[in-house]
Amino acid sequence: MHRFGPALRRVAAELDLPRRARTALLLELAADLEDVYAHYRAEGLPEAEAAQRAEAMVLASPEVIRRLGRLHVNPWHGWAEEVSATLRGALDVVLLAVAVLPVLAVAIGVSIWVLAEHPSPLTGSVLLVGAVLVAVSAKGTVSLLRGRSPERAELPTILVVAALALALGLLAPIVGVWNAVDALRGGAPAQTLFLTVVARDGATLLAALLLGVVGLLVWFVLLGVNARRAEREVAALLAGRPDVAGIASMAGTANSVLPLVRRRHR
Amino acid sequence: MTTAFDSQAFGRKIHELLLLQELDRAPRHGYQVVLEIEARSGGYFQFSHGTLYPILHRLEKEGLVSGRWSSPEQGRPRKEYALKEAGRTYLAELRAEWRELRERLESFLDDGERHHASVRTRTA
Repeated sequence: MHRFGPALRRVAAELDLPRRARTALLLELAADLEDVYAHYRAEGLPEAEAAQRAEAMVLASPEVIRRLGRLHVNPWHGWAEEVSATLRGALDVVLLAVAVLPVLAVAIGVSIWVLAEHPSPLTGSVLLVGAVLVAVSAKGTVSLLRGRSPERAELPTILVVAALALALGLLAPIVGVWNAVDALRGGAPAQTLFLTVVARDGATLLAALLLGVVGLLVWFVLLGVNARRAEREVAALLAGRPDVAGIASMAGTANSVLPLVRRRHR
Repeated sequence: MTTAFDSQAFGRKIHELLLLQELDRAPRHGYQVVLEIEARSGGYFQFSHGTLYPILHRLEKEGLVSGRWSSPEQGRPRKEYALKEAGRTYLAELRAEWRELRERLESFLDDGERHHASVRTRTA
């Protein structure tokens, strides 16, 4: 048990914050408690008194906890973390990977194949956004596997790219209809134009929207895994021992995360 | 034009001044800042019951200080705070405000003492 485990648990129970903010604050409190404790020990205080003074200085009162809560409140992030945390363990992630992502990938592939046959003015942009999304998602996954948080860099980028894909999708029919009206004025046959708009711009719309959905899914999964990893860090900290099974059970995590924990404590 | 003294913000600004002044010397971990302030003021300025965190986190949120997690080879990660350029500007404003407050307060107290002295002289 960590020296300040019980005290940290009391604070943790009162902290009504999004997981990541809550975990970061608890890690900060734990590190500072140890710093202050070491400082007082170095000044010659006995263990019990040094621990008591460290707690009095570092641990937040209920009023301070409420102020911190108000400062870090982020309803959207809190909600997203809660929902993504329902993707508990390997089974959910594997189901998502096996069932949903391949279907989306096939749909995107078909759309891109149609686009190759009937290129739209936005085809290049959609392909570029898709490539960026794949690259950023891969980078976020690698970061997570290496024990780093993708929260600051990759996760916001994925959201921006997904939003960009959705915007491109919505723009496609507008550009298509605009071009068709121009062509009609130039005397092009209406039936051919109609088919072109439906096939080409429909495919662009579908590909871009699906890319956006895939981006949001990837963001959701990475956010959830990252939040659980953060909780494991706190659990490992409070446990004060590199006991993989103990850490996982304390954090309420499933087997899927154990390789990560093992690597961190090797 | 004179800006009126804001008594409600007084306590908050003193805390901010102390923290930013300390971070201006060097980047530090959270409670290093507090221990340094305590040591440097001979125990006069103290932060208890976690009062440091709302202030530091707000300063970080407002872009005045940056908080960065360091991952040392040994031991657990720690969050280090450093003063940003905007924080340095704000610190200069706080220093100027504090100097003005001190001068005005001293002038006010001196006036009061002079008044008492003149009353004492008359009654004697």
